[in-house]
Amino acid sequence: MTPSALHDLFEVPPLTILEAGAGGREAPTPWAPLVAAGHASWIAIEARSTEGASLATAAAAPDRVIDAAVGDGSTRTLHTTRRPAFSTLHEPNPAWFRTFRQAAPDFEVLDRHAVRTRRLDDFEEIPAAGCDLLYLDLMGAEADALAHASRLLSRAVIVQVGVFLLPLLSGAGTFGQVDRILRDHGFVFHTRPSGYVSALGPAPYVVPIQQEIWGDFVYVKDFSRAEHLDRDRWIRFAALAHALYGSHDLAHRGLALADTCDRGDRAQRYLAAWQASRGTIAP
Amino acid sequence: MTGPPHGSGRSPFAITTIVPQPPPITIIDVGAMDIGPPAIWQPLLDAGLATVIGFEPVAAECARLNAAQRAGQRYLPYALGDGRQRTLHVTRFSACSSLYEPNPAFVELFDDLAPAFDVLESVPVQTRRLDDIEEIAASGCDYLKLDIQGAEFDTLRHATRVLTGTLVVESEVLLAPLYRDAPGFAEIDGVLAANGFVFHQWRGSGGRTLKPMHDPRGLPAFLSQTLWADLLYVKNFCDPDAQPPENWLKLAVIAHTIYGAADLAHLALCHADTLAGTWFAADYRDACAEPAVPPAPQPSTPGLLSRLLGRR
Repeated sequence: MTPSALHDLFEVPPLTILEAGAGGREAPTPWAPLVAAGHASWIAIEARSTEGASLATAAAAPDRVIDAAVGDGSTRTLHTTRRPAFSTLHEPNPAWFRTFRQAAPDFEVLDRHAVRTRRLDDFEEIPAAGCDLLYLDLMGAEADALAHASRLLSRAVIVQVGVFLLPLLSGAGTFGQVDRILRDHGFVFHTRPSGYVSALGPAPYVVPIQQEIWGDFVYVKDFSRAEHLDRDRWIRFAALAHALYGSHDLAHRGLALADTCDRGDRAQRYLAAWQASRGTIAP
Repeated sequence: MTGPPHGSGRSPFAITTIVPQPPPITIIDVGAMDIGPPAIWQPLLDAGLATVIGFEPVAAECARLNAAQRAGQRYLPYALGDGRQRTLHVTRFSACSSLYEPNPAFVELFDDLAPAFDVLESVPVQTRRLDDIEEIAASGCDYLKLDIQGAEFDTLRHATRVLTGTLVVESEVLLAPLYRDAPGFAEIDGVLAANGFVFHQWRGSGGRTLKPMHDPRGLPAFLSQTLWADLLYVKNFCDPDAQPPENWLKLAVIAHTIYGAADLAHLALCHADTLAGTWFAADYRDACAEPAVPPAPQPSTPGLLSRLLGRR
């Protein structure tokens, strides 16, 4: 099934994707097909003006690029690192980088300057209706950002967040804090698309690497009860689950919940399409 | 950052070829029900490197485990938790029994899951805190394994003394509300961080397919929704002076033998060498670099939920 399969089956309300920490991406976004097909708008927030400029002029550019540092609303220090994509509001922790020596050069701080951070709930550039997918990759500022995003989280149906699993950045929020905030806002863990390891100790490195330092995690609105979202947001939930993650059973669940709102048959049509592609129904 | 995790599994050589007489390791297994597959720590026992104290609150099951008289293992019939009297919800699949009540509104959404969580009876149990167990006070704990259907956080919160000496914790973590009000990842991550542990590996996860869909691959495969995971934490390994040399050797043995975590084992040996003037790390690195038969595929032994309900 194609990413836009739901759009071929029935009407899907327009999607809004908000990406905070959008610069330095090394691969196409998973939502690129939806944006290219005109099914989604993409707003990117990036603190580093050079990265933001690159984003804005890329072949597949966001609909809007906002030059801002996301945080708790206070003035913070932006640490520009040798690898620009790793620039962060948190000082790299020297004790940890004496251990992760191979990663250390990428995190060398070349410049520090003050930035006024903005809370996600305070962005007037973001539509009042909020976003459907909130994607965060803020080099340690994810928990701070989510702690000040209650309005956005009340509207979002899926949140994907990239977090460090070790305290490599001093004062950075933990994945545990991210998990707590999202659960408190009615989200449930869904899946873990990716994780990354890094080498411990001195180079040259010949032993296999197991130590994980970063992971990408997806949370979805609690799908156990229909009243958690309205019809259109369940449809958007389904469209994103299908297109971004191939979570066909979750997409079906979202459509079934949407159908309870208007006695629709979207779920049935989606199931038939999935069966036709390769699936089966439980007896 | 280097890239996606390498596949886990035991290394092709025994660490005793590098460290001939490592200090003995004490394993505490909370949720020790024997359901067939070998326990994750079995390789350490098989190599004569460890002893196990396990906890199994079902008296008949505990008696069965002790009657088997397996070398290096003893089992205690205690339910671990916060020290209060709690209610044990005994489920149709006994290994899903929990101090937390199953959440049927969520469980029933999934294919091949709900029957395991049917509650047959709810009985009062007196829980005990891990820090209050005299047998553990005597033995200490180097490696703690937890798999108790949501009560892991309750146990860890009351194990501060035990965790002081513990080097490795593997815990099953509920990632979805299979049980009402059961703690999840945030709570377990927080209590382990507070006790000096850092994340090492996401060992594996389990889930189920949402009805009415059905994964044609069959269990343990599932289409998308992860429900639990086995997570591995280790004592902060940045500072060589944080542990005595013998503890670094123990960490190396556990990391290598159970998890094939050669990077962590190597670092631990580096620390031991720094403190004790030994040369284990260089020999270990050379052994890892030698062309060898690739390790036999060793699926990491999953946690209890995973073993019962399937995992990938």
